[in-house]
Amino acid sequence: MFGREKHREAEINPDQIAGVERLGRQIVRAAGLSDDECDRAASSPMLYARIRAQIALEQSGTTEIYGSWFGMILAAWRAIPVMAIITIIAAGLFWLVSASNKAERPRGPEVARVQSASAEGLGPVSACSISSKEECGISTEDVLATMIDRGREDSGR
Amino acid sequence: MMAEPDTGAELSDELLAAHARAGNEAAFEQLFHRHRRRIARLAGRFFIKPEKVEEIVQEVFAKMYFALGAYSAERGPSFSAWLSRITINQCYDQLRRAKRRPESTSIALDEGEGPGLGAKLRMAAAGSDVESDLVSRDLAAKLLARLNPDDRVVLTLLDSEEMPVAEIAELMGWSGSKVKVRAHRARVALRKVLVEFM
Repeated sequence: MFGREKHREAEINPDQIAGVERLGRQIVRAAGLSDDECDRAASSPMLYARIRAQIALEQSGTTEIYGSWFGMILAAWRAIPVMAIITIIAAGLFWLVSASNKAERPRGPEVARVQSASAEGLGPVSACSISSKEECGISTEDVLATMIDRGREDSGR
Repeated sequence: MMAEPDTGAELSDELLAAHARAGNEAAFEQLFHRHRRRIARLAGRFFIKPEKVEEIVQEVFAKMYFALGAYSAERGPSFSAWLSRITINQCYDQLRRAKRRPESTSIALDEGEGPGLGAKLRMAAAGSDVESDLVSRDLAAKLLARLNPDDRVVLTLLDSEEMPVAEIAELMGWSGSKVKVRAHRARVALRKVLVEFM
């Protein structure tokens, strides 16, 4: 392809190239309307009315687009920041509630003793009995004392 | 709110554009009447059918209306140059579409057109009768339709509009050297088209 084009170009001597270029300029100038014809086209009686009609049509087309699917996208776009704020607030409330729930849960035997001491009819032993901490555990002497007391009660009957 | 333009005084294009942008229809109409012929002549360099030129003028002013919001007299070129740029872009788009769907006149040359090409164009330049003028115009349009739209735009602005390189550069948003390079390539391309038929 390139070889053939170069061959055709080589067939034309430099003087001819100048002539071809001059012809090219003439062709470019010839390929168009005259000024009078252009003025007549620009003076067409309905031209301005058609321009206004095209503008009105494009404006109404844009409005219709905004009223339909584009309107939905626009509404969704506006809703995103609001939804994000609501999500952040909800997450913050959830975290606060979780934190306060952890604070209310019983922490250990010390808490249990304090709570049970204030409760009516309950002694510290009842609360300690559900704890696995060593300080709440019953000693051997306590067990023996309890058994001896029970034995005396049974023999007394 | 902008004051109504004084229709008696000659307002500048930039001021009328500002009024038109604010919704003043009279200002837009003044701009239309002021520039329609110039735009039509520019479009008429590229197309040989008057109805095509009308269509382009219509498109240009409709586009101008919607683009007024983006135009700034302080930042950008003059209103006239800005409107010319819109026109050239519109012509370029039409040329590209025509390249895909040629105009009603076929781009293929008739049998007798090739050999007498130079003679016919010389007759048209000498201002001979209308019929041969139309034949030459049609022939020239067929030959230029074989060029790329970019090449055709550059050659038309240089040779038909006789614009200087600097003005073309400003109009197209190119550098001066880019205009020259494109012009050289376009001339080579046109030469190849002519050699093919001579």
